[in-house]
Amino acid sequence: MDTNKLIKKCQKNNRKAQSELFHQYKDVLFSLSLKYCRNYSEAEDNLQDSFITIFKKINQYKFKGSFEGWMKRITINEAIDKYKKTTFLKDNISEEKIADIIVDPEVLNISLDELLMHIQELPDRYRLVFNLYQLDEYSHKEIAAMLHISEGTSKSNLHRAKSLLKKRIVLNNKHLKKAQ
Amino acid sequence: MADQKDIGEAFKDKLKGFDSSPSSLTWEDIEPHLPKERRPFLYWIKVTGITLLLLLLIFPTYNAYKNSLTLKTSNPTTIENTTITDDCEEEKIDLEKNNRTVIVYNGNTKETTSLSTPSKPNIDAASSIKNKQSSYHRNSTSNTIQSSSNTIQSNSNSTSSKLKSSNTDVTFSTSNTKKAISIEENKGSLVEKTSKKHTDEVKNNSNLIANQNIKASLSQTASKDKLEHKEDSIKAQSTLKKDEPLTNRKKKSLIYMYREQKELFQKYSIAIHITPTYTIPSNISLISNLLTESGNNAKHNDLDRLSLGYGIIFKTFNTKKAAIRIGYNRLKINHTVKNIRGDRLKFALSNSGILLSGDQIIGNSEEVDLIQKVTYNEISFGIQYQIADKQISTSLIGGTNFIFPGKNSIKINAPSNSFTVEGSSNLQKVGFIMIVGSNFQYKLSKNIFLNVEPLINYQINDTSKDSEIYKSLYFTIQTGLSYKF
Repeated sequence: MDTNKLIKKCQKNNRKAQSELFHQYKDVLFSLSLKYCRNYSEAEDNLQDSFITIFKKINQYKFKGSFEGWMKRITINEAIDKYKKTTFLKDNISEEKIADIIVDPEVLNISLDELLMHIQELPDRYRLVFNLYQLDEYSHKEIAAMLHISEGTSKSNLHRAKSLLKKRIVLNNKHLKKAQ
Repeated sequence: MADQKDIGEAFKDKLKGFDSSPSSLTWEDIEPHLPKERRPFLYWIKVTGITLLLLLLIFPTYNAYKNSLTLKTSNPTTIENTTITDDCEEEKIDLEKNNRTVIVYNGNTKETTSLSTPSKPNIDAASSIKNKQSSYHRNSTSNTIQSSSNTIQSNSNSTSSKLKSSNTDVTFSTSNTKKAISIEENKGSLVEKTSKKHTDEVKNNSNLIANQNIKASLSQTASKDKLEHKEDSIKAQSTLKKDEPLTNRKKKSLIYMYREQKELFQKYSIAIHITPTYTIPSNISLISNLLTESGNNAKHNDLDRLSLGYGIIFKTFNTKKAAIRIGYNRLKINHTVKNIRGDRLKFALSNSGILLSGDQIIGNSEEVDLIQKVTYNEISFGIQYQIADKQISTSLIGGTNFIFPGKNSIKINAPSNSFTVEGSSNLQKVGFIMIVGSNFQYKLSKNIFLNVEPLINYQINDTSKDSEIYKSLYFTIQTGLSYKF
């Protein structure tokens, strides 16, 4: 069925259409949730909450812009709401110190599940900023508005998230080499 | 060794195309949490319910009005319970128990009392008139009575005259006795009202006089010639009376009949008004909860909270003081939030599906004012009760309004730019509002009044689906003219 027709039916709370929409988008939104949440079960909870919100707010969608993008925003907001009680470190690192943290791409020759695990193991505040900036391409201004933090805090949290990821990946590689 | 790469970019590249499926979450887990499916028949049940409620409100009032109309039209011709003496000081007393009527006549020279024992048909006819509540024509009654008294004066032995009612022709006839007609509308009140003061003395006198007259009438048994002569004279006098002007006849009537003075009032009122509306300040946005945490340091411009609406109200008065009100208003209500950070506003707007066009630019650090203008269609039900009826009549008003949001737009005032965008669609479809206030009414003419109604309106349910704390509160002054009928 055409997506717009499906949306219109969902706006009338048509159960069949809602079910169809759920099955159509559940994988995309679950993958997104996995990146923002700490583990698999929290991601499922987040996906459930996101779909409930999507169907409740679907009347607000005015067929302007991407529907998938609109749903993704809702999924991300649900995740932010879940972890927004987290206190963000307000230690603004000077701009000079925030340099790119580079790694050898070969180091990342690990399974996707392992990569995802590294992200999920990041502290909530770092994970949110890393995902928003690095994977979903929000600007620091937008992140600051979404998380109610300053741009500086956003930048420093991203820097710390990257450092932490590098440390863990490098350490993980060392352990693997030793084991071999 | 490959080229070094930023770790963020490296993660992004690796995770591109990452896809995973939830294993335990199914549609069945989500479905129970969703809003119920819309059912068209529920809508019609609601519509029918509201219509029935309206009919229940309107019908009793209509019936009351209809009854009062019947009273109005029947009153002028209905003989009611008051009997008043004429210039010649005649008093009428009904001695019901004996089916006798005595008229005490205190003329200048004559004092006559007549005792009548009407024949059965006459009594039946009289009672049938009473029961049917048919109306007597005052003139004909007066004439009859006049002619009867004339008969008495001329000592006739038998008279007959016709008393016309709207439904029946009743013939009263007497023989060998003097006759008086008693017309009673309300026996109890008649006797009470007219004879309370004099009953005792009149009773004594009447008994005496009646006895004397019985004797006199018995001795005055007339011949047939005399009877015919008398009938002719009555007919002639009746014809003369008919030709006389009504006012003269009234004066000469022996009995005046006045209708009961029932307080009449205008049953219906229809009013049109304009409605200046002031939204009581609140710093909560209808668009998103994200905007509720914005700072609020700058001075508010209260003009943003003022708007103008219009409406019509129909009132039905159950009593002179109490009325049921049904009305329609078209209101414009402004919801204003001040000093929102530009970046936060942009995020909240995009989150609510409101996208800004290329020329609608807001600086991220700018402090922006947001005014959401919503047009509401309001159906109001209420009651009012008059507490003071002076030169300016004062009434208290209470009731419930149902508001249905129509168009809404959002005006954004940033220091660098001002523009209007399409409004949000997250407003509740129906709002329930409680109203309290007062009505001040000044009479301009018999039917036209000037009305001023200050009202406080408070929304019971949430105004927006997303801002769960916000319940509208606004103050209106409905000012206009009403026509009572």
